[in-house]
Amino acid sequence: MSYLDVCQVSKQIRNDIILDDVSLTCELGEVVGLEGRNGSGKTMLMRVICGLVRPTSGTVLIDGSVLWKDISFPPSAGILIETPAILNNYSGLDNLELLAMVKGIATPDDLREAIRRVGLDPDNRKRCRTYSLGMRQRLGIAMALMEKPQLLILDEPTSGLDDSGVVELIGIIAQERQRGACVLVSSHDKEFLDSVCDWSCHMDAGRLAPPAGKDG
Amino acid sequence: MGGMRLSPRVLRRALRASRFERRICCALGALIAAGTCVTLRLRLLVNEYVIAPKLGDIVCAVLAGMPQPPPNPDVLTVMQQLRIPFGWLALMLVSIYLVSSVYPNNQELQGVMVASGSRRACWEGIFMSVLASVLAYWASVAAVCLAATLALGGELTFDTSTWLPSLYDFAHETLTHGSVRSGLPVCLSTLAASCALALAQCALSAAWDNNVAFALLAASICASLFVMHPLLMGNLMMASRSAEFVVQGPVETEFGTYAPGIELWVSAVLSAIVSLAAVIAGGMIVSARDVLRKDRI
Repeated sequence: MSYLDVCQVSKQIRNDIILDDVSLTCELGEVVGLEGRNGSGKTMLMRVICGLVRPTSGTVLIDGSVLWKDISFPPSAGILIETPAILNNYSGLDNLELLAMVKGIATPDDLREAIRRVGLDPDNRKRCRTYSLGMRQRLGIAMALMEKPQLLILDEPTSGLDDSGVVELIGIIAQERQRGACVLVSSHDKEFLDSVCDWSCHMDAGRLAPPAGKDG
Repeated sequence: MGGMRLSPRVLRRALRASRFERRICCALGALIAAGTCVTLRLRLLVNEYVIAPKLGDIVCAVLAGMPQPPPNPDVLTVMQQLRIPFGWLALMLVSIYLVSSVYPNNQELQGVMVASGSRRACWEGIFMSVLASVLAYWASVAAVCLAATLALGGELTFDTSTWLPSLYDFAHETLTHGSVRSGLPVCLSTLAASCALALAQCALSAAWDNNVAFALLAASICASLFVMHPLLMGNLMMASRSAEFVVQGPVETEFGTYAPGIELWVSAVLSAIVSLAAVIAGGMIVSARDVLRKDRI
């Protein structure tokens, strides 16, 4: 059984079919890409996998447990979906500390290391209200990484990043694969996905096209 | 499922995340209370009272509110002057602003929910942090009342002086004639009603939106100035509408028939019902929460 198993998931809102019979699997130590235009359903699929949206039909299994039934949310997940939830009155490190307080598994060194990995300075005490879009995105990625999750979900992680940031992100995703995380990345940048993913799927109008590169 | 273990962590996180807003609101509450104490002192001087106000006087002055309106304004023979109690109103509005600051925004809530792994733990942590913040707010107001009593040389007793109602425009015709009135029921009513309102605001925030909940609560507080009904819970927090000061039956006056004062037990029962309903309803809403009810795609 795969670590992440999305089985025939559909999501309908009023008359709009947002996800249409989507099935997807991802193993630990594997990086899966979701590519598609804006509004194709990538973010919705990620929200369903995170437990933030209840599918109209179908199931999501995380390590054999059914979301919305056995568990409310994936037990070990790092998530970056759309804009990261950053508290503007706090520094980057404070933001990580605040989120880490909930689970209490990340050590102070883990938090500093996560900030360093995304190219930010953990000793920078500036409040996040002064951060640029790219810095906020980097901090959001650090928040997703800090607890060394088994499931890492990154929705458009290159958004707002400069070229060096994208190169660093490619390295980070490779490291996460090596660590044994199950990584799901979405982007409309096919070149980026090709450089980080073991295989990727194309999404269009809520449907998943057959995976490309799974065997190669 | 892990709720008991995780909710204290969510609580600690929520309290820490909102500490700036809480400090600002507590400071504002203290400032408003201090302003009311200064006003009381000036009123005493203007009316040539040489007596030092007791703690009960100061507490009731801070929570004075306004006289109860007659239920039927058509029978008014003399137009009553509308005096908005800005101090009281500001205190109440800051308290609901505090709740909307402590309650996490949508993105933040999603992050905390996923991190906690339990919707129940998330809700428990949030409503407990809101309650703790509201209690801290009223503690800061109480501290100012205490400091003002000591500074003015008054007695540290909740008993109130006989001059207080006339100084704060309570409706004279309806005042109780007991020899000793106490500010304690007013304090307890305020605390209980404020906690109940805070929980109701949390549940409304969970159901709709922080701003909608703030607007609804602010409207209810403002409406309670003009409509005297226990269900408009602002009434439970006004000294001038407590049965401690206002007789319990309807009273005929030249302005018409006044509504009776609200008794402590009514405040207690209503606050308990609203609190319980808000905690249960909020928990159910958060448990079934689908972010699409919040974010339209």
